[in-house]
Amino acid sequence: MKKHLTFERISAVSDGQFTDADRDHMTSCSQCTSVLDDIERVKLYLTPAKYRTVSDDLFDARVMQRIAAGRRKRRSLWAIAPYTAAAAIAVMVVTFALRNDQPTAPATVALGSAPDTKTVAAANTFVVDDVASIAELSTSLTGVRIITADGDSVTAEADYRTYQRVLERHGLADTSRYFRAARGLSLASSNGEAAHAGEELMASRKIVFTLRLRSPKGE
Amino acid sequence: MSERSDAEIISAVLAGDTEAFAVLVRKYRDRIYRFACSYCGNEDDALEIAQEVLIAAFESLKNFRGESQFSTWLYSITTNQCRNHARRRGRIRKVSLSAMDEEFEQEIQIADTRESTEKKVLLSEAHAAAMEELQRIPEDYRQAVILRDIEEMSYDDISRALSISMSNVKVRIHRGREMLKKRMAERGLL
Repeated sequence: MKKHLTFERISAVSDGQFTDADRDHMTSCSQCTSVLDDIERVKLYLTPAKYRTVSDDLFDARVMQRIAAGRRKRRSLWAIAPYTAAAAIAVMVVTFALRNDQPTAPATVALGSAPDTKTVAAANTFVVDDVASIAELSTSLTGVRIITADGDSVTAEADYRTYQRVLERHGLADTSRYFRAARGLSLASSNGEAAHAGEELMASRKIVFTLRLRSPKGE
Repeated sequence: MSERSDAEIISAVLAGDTEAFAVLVRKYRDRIYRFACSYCGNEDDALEIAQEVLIAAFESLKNFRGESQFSTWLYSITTNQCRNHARRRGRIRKVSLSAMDEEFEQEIQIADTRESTEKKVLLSEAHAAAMEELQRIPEDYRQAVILRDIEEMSYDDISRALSISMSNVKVRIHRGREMLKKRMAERGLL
């Protein structure tokens, strides 16, 4: 007696893919024909699904409306890109890394360079006794870097107003507090005191403000 | 006026004529909806998925390289959206049996007005059961079975839409059918 076809072969037969041998077997084997009939019956049971159509008359309009809205939104997002890019990723603890121009100081975030978030630890704070006032800090701010819990980071060119808005967006409107806190702690040691203050103030986010400070001698 | 080809419409959209995309929406919405409906078994979800697919297609239209038919590319987006939707909503959704029964009744009336009421009811139940069981088979098999047995796509197009080899397409279709057949037999419908 000839060997029966496998289910796969019979299923292929139902799709019109068969050899002469398959066809010959199918014409003489009631068992394989029965399996083929079952497959065809299952297909028949699925048939009504072929005739489904969208019954919502407003479907097309809704899609086109959403597409138009999406385009508008994207345009407006581009307009505030410096803020949204920063705001979207802010997640972890806050610390301030203030940088002076001394070449021997530990490296902090260089604007525009590929950021290495792992090197920016809470302890990487710097002596900033040459910064006399918040006003001076605000004019020297050149970038904002925001680090997520995953260690990803975004560095955005930013002026003082930009970073204020970023903080406002996160409900942290009193931005001068952080500079005061930093100054209050004076960042005289790199023991993480500034970061500790940041954690208290800003809960679970970690934001590094990259500052390019003027040289005390104006060089 | 002759109908514009998909390629022409896509070029127009990419050139800034957003409204031209409405032609593609009209042309493909039913196919996408049908697939989504078969996949998730719920008409409201299917409508939502169809919208998401078309919007996603618009947004990534520049990535369509024309290596396959536009419909095949759309199906690949649809399968991904369906999968994401299923993850968001939880694994298995109940089939909207009443609505499907109703539509199936209509289909049967169109197909053969001589069918006895008894047979119509039986077929209606069988269809609802098949749609239910379709959603209980693994999603890889389900997608392949829907594309082949409902959308009537060729093995080749399915291979492109799902980004899998032809032999894999066959395996998924045949195994999916085997599972469906077994389940339908267990319900006494074969």
